[in-house]
Amino acid sequence: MEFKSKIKKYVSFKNVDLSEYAKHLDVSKDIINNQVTKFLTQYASIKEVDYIQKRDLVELACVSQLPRYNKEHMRLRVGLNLMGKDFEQQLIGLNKNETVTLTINNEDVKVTILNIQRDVLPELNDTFVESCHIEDVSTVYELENKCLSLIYTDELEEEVDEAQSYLGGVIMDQCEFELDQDEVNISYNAYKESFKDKEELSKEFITSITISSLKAALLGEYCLRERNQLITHEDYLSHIQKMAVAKNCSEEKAMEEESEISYLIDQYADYYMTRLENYTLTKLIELGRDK
Amino acid sequence: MIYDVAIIGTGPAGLSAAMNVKILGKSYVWFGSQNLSDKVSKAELISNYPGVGKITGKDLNEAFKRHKDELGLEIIEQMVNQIMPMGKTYAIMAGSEYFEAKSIILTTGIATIGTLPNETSLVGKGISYCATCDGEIYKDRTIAIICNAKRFEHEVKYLADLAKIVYYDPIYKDVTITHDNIERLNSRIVKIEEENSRVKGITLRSGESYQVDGIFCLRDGISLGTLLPQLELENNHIKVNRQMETSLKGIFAAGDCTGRPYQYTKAVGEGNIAAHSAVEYLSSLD
Amino acid sequence: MNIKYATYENYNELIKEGFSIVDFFTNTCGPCKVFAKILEELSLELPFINIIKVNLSDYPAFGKELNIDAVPTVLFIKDGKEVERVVGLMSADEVTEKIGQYYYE
Repeated sequence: MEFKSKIKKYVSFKNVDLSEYAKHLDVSKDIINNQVTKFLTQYASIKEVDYIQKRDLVELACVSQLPRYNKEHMRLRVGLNLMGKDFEQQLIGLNKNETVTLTINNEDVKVTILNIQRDVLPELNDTFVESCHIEDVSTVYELENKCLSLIYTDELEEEVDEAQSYLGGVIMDQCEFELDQDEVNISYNAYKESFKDKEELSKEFITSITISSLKAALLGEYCLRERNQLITHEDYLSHIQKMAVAKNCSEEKAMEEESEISYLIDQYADYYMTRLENYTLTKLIELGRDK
Repeated sequence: MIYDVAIIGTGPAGLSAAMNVKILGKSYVWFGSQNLSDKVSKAELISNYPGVGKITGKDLNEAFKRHKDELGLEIIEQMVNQIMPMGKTYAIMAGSEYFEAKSIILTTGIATIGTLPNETSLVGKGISYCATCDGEIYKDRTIAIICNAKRFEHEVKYLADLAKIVYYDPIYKDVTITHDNIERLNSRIVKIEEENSRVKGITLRSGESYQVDGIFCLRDGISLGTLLPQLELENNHIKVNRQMETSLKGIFAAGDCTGRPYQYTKAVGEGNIAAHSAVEYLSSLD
Repeated sequence: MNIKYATYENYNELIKEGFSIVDFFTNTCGPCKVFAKILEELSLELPFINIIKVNLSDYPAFGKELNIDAVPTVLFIKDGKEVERVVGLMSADEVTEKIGQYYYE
């Protein structure tokens, strides 16, 4: 389902200058490397190798009087010492298919190395970063800033708040929208219903929230269309299914409570605001590094 | 982010600790009240604070607040309800937010937070201090809520929206919350009924009993025994050495919580020592 | 990834064989999010350990049936039977210790 409301002129948030919100950050090479390595580990490929090094994932067959070391098939990551530091130290350097007898606690343990796997981190270059398909990240530099965002979230909380407000304001001003009256009404009524306990909120306030969230939803839809990730009718149905179970009511009742339009506005607006927040944080880190 | 020092408590000891930590250039997170200390402001007259002459508690607390503002010290107004050692750092749960710090200075004072008998042993087995964490577990079920401060009323509402029946025991004046699911008890909860080491019900002073699936204790403070059960106590105070070190590595204490005399100048002095000890401890970690 | 999300339908199937770490969480619980990161890193270190997450916000009946009273609660299960449970946040070292105790016994 698509909105009847439209964006007539789209302005990207990337062109807005945020330098006045950035504060200087002292980022050491070590910190950057640490964070990036953590990230790359998710994309590590596994290579089978011939001899054991620390941190390799090994498969072993062990025969011993000690029940703990008597396993036909055991898997472990060498160095975590879950089978004992002594044992794992002795595994280092052993070859695939080799059978040796080790001594643990004065008992013999006959160990056969069945398989050795090593994590290979991908080569870090712009092509690789692009292949990760992370929003707004396509170069190594941008990836560094994204990885750093995990540790700077708290420290830059205030700055991100201010910068994001400013950015959102600029976008709303510069973009041009054509809003469908029906969609505005549906959304207005939904908000009015959700705020029914808060009598002090004026009509003007509810109207302005309705309009700004519809606009944010349109921007979100625009972005997701570019990535070919539009929200489908099936997504809505599965959300209704979950809602019906959680609220212990029928799916029809759940649909009455949350129409598809309301759901779309909610999801798209949420997506756009989150993306804006993530982008703002990463941008402030980039500007802060260089300040 | 991982803070260097977490300070728990905003009385004179906490203020002294926080300011010295900041002056010594370390990052800090400070939990307590924006009003610093109700206890200090209620004191009638203080005449033994060197340099200050005779001063009312109210004025002294105001002076503390001015000094805190002058130094730009920031306070997080959330109640710390759990401290978990995580190897090299400590994880601190305040409200439903999570913080991490390398060291902690406890300046929690001597407020005795009354807990129910058995309460500590049933935490996580039907007793909860965190509405947003555990509320959903009690969806459509029956709970009791003990609340000792008005500012938790929005959490009470949150729980009442989720649960089917709420037995409410408010221990503060000016109760304004109303909700279809809330039944306000007309007598204090004095006992927790348990079965198989889990919460089964509550008994009131009047003798009435109710079956409940869980009990939420929303209080303005937490007993040390619950917060840090491994902390060594002596006569109900935190045992410290002259460096204000407690029995737990990286945790220091200062002020009334370490024992008598309960005096401001002692608290302030100990807060200073704790700050210096914490900073020294931090350099030993590197 | 070896982290699986349980539903009412597949829970028993997921835990019935071998060693599993089951993490019970809700959507609004702060420490659960922290624990989720710890489990993610652990799953990269030990990809052969079965890690199962149960969302009590989506599937509240689990809480009642399995006597879960607080989150996060972690169940350590061997061949379908609970061998230990820990209520509250665990550090990576503590979880690794349990793995050493039950998976590598």
